[in-house]
Amino acid sequence: MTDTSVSTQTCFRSLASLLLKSPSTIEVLPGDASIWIPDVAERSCSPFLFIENNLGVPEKELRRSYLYAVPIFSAARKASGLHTLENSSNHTLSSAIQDLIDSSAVLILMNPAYQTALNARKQLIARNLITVEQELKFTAALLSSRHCCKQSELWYHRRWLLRRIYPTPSFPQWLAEDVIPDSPNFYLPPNDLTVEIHLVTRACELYPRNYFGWNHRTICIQSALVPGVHFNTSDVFTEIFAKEIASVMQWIESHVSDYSAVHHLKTLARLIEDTESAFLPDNLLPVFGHALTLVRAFPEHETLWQYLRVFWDEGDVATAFVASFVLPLQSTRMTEQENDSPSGVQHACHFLEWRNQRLK
Amino acid sequence: MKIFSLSVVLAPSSGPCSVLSSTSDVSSFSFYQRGSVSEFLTFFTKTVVERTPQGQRQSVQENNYTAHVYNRSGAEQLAAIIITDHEYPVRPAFSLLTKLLDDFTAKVPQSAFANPGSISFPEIQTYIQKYQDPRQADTIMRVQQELDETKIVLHKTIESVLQRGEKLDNLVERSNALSTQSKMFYKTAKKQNSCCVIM
Repeated sequence: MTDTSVSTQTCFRSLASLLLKSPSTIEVLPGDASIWIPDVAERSCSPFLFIENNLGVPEKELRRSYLYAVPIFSAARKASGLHTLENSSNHTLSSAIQDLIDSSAVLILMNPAYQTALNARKQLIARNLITVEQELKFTAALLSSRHCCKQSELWYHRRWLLRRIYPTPSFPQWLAEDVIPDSPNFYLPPNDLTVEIHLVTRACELYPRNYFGWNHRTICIQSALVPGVHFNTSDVFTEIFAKEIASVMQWIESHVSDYSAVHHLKTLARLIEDTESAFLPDNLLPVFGHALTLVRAFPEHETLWQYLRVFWDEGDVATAFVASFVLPLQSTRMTEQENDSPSGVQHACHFLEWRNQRLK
Repeated sequence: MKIFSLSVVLAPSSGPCSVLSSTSDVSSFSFYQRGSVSEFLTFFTKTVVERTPQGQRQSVQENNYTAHVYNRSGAEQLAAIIITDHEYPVRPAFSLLTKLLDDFTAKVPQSAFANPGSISFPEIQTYIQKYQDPRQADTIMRVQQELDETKIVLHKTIESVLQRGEKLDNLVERSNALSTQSKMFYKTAKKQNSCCVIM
């Protein structure tokens, strides 16, 4: 073995072991290690950074480790017999399994949508070679990274893990469908729901308008509402719904172009209408008022007009809003050049067309 | 909708400007980015203020950031600058700057400007926290009607406020205030033409 391949191997193993230490965040840093670790004294994890449980991976080192991991992964998959039924001898097996754990971790960091690597890890879990808890920590760490937190495959992988821990209790299928349509296939206890919501919030801050993050959140809320698990279902439902609606409304206030958040809120509203719980659809009335206030404050954001549409409730308040705000805003278009008109005018026009269609 | 930084700057008609009071919020950035983001906010602050003529208001967009500057000049030769994301509305930003300058001149004597280290103006912290929600600025906007008549120039890129022959790449490369890591973040963001990271 040449010197470079030895050092690449050390580099690869050290990255894999750092990844499995479940860091609180992982970041891919531009350039190579020399820029990030100029001081020899700090080279304890060289060529990587590990400060206050935050892992920093210089991009060039990640690429080198990745190229090194590819052949190891395919050899280890063959040797471990994960994709066949045959069993190898014990010694080759254990080293192959370590190779598989290490290489798949590096491959997934480089490419979080690497299905074969994700599947290999699922098989390792199925054979109890990695614990589900470890893997949950690993995915949580990955989801703190900007290029990972927008990958649907990774969120799905996480739900697969949750399903292994909390499979839905078996009760008659008709009941499940009656109470919650599209009943989820796992059940999420309140504490774990908090963990998932925290992960999603961080991911949506890192990667704005993160649809897959919000989608995960919707599914997790549904999973926390699986009927038949709670003693006093209606109380739990009320608590979860009330808290979630309040927190998403607050999010929209400071993220006025996050249409995925609005979509999530609308999905919650549908869920509330479909669920027979103590949390009545009347509790959604403040949301309409909220949308009105936000459109008045920031009419230039199309997302808020869509927010208004999905919670639109024809009545006195609505009529007054159109007369006092939308019509005056639309009329400014008549007097000025179109490309010179104040922002939001276009949205107001589209909104009025939509409303006229509805009133017909 | 976010304010990243807020500064009061001494901007003489010629020569370099100096930051008198400043605060920033980089909590939304990831761990290893924060240091570089802070450096770039300071760099952006100085670069833009030095290129804003006295008595003018202007907005400059660069990558994910919008800087709103008000160079009030006058006897004190003060300017204020706020760096936000693109969502933060323009009018509250400028109302906020005027109020900040009034507040600053009322509390800090001009004699202290020569020694920025001695200036204590903790109120700037309250500003960056309170006005993260721009609707908080509604009340001060009502007082400041003059803004309506002022035409604010919006530059879609920082290059358009730079002087002839100046290039942002060169300014970044030459800057002593930016670390090697920050320059690397800048180069990568530029190369990927990404909407992400630093500047």
